[in-house]
Amino acid sequence: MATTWTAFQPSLGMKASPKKFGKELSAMGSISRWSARFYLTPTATVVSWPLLLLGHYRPMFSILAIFDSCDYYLGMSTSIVVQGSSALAKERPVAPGSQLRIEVDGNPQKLPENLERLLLQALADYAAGQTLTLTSDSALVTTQQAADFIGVSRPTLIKLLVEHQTPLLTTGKHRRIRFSDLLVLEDQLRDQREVAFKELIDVSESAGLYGLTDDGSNPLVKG
Amino acid sequence: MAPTLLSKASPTIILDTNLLFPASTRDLFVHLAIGGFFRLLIPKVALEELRRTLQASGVISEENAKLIEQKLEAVFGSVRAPSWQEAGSYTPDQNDRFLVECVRSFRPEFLVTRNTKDFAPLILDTRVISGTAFLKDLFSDNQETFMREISAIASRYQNPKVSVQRYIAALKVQGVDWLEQDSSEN
Repeated sequence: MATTWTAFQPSLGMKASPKKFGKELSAMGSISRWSARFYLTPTATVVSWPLLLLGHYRPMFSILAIFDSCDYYLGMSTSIVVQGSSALAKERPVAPGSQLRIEVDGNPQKLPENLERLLLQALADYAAGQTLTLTSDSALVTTQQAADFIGVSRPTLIKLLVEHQTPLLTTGKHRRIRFSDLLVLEDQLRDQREVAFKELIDVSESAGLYGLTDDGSNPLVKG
Repeated sequence: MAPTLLSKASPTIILDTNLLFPASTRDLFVHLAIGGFFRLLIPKVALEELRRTLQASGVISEENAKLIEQKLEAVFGSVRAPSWQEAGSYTPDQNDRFLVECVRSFRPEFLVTRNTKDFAPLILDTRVISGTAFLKDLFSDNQETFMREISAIASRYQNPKVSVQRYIAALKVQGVDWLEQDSSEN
């Protein structure tokens, strides 16, 4: 089954909160996330697929599972990455024990078990306020898009790309980064931050900082 | 047509110095930022102010205060407003001017501070909000997620080990008082 993605195109380049994103999808009739119903339409018609969401912790096994699953349907390498919580998202969580039902032209379809599990997890995380990025692994992004994705300024991103020897591609006068390389960089940065945070806690513990505030006092708060 | 990149939806916040102490509150914001719940910007001036205040108050030694500043900066770096700008009517306290400068330069969604009364409620498009209100809004209806993160933070402490209850108690003292009472022990 060859498919193409179209459902997300209207959202591309927009700042997508779960609320906004969900509304757009619902309006297209592609997903009713609270009933956990997805529609997969065959080739040559509109395909609303895939809309997968993971936890903000982005477990690697899930990503790999999604690669497999998406390849199964799309015949292309695909990354779906949750980037973190949207502020002030107020959605209801998916009830435990929810079941996923996939229909193609009204006919129930059986999903690979790992994909079904992921989708259910995705819905729960989405309901908890997570947001997502949907992009092809091979997509090229601009340095500004990459900076936004990583959450740093563009000059800082350039510095990070050099430091981490992330491949940069040049198209004409413009520099581009392959999305899969950006994910690698993001992982490296997260690891770095974790290490630095651990060191911060170690220093704080050594300095006895954690036992000093039981009375609620704070020298940094004005009277 | 190949899909392209969706913009990041996590909000950007600038954190005031007064939320960098005590360490339990600081860790909460740092941990959540690493987890991608928001993008955290810490002004360089705030880090310097933290060090000076910790030293002056005798809370910790000068050497440790410097180390805290360095290590904190190593996690997320720091930001500086590129040029001096008038604080205008956004804050009456000139000592807080650097925050207004950073807000004007980086245009975050939120300025998170304990001293909301010292600022106008809105600086350009940036909402001035207390740490407690920000977290409460961020995790409203999703307290399960918040509690999961709280457990994760508590598990980071090894010397000594800190239970989830103990960590929650520390946060409550600092005003994060809307947490569930019946959270489980680590």
